[in-house]
Amino acid sequence: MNETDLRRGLDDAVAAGSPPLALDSAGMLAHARRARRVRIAGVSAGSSVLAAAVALGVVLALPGGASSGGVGAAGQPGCQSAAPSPEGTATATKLGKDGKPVPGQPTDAPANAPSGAPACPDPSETEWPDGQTDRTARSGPHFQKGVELQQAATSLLPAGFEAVLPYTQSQFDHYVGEVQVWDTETILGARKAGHTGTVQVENFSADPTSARTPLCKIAANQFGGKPADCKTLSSGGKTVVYFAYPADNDSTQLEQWAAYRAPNGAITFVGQARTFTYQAQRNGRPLTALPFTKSQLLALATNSRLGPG
Amino acid sequence: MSDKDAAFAEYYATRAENMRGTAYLLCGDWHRAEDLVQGAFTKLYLAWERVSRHEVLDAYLRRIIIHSYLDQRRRGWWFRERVSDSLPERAGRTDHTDDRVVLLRALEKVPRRQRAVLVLRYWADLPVEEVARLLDCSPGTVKSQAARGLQTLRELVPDYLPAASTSEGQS
Repeated sequence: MNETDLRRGLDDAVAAGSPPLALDSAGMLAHARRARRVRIAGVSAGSSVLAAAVALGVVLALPGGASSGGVGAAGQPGCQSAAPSPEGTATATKLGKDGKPVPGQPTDAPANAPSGAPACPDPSETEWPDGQTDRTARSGPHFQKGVELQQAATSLLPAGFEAVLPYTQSQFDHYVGEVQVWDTETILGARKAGHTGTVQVENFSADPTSARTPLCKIAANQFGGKPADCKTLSSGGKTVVYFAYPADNDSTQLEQWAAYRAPNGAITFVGQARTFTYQAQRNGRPLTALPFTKSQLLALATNSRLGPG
Repeated sequence: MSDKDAAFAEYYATRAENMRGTAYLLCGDWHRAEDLVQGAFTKLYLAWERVSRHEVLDAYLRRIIIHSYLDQRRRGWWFRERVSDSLPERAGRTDHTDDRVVLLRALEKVPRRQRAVLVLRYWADLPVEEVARLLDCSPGTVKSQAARGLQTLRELVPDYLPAASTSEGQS
């Protein structure tokens, strides 16, 4: 395959399967107008200062990048926007929980940001919790939960296995009202006698918006597999969903996974594979058998040490 | 309809298909592509007064689409799309529909930023410098990511030839 082949292939892929647009111009316009009304209503519900700003014609700042000379975004004086502002002045509105503007956050940006300034943040970007500068917790209680999850997963490996090249991350996902939804994961290389497989544990704090979504659908969408092939089983009196690829599957993804939704809505997921799909060891020797039996995997999903707590 | 709304509607009618094509090749799913494009156009509408210089509209939209794709975790994690679980078995070289599926599924396995570079360079046909601006990286990085992405595709589908190439070869 050369560059020309790829161009043709991509053209073909788009042209062949393209369904009609879901929205025509009128539909898109109506959709956009609704979004503007919602945004303005959100602003109006905020502080009177903010409402006054709307009345004066607040416009949203743009994401950064394409050209210099733009205006800055909220909290980011000196950043570049995608296009120059014809007016030279604008006010950005930072959105917070529930996608609503944060009262008091609009910030008058400098009219002429210096060339080479960093890109402005997307104005619809979620407000990071607890003073974080991005999604990942690098200290504090959520970071510590990641550390503990890695330790717990390591300690629960079957006898004879050691954990290698662990990858652990605790990251904020989104707000539901005032509630923070967090996603904490640890991926271990499970090594035994020079062969390495994968054990992945990931938990999600309770999210009321997904409480009625079938767990098989959630887990399959997140970790692969078909929801229709996901089975609902019992382990220690608790309901666990389970999925396994066929034995001859050569997918680079997890071969089996199990997921459990606790009564409080938190979800714990455990998956395993004979190969270690993490980049550094992709070409390593795979295990001859999965680290856990099916029943062990189901039990792990319900193990409170692997849950979000 | 105001002048603004008329201009916006006209621009959507002109460019929505193209932008959705970019989004589709990135995420591998028409529905998700539709969501990405609608979200991008909605943001464009909200910022129309300041971005309606038409020479930057495309860049503005692409930037939103690309960064929404690269940061899927901004959306609820249960909404992340998966095109497929594995590459399909290939029976032969005559089924062009299968060729397209093979390419899309291989593309899904290319790391996200490399995939974005491939789509922007070889489908949107953007110059290296513009891809670099969109991805906030250097032109050198774009070149190396494109080379790596192409190499990854070659490894995944070593005998791939698009329908047009096959036809030409047979004629």
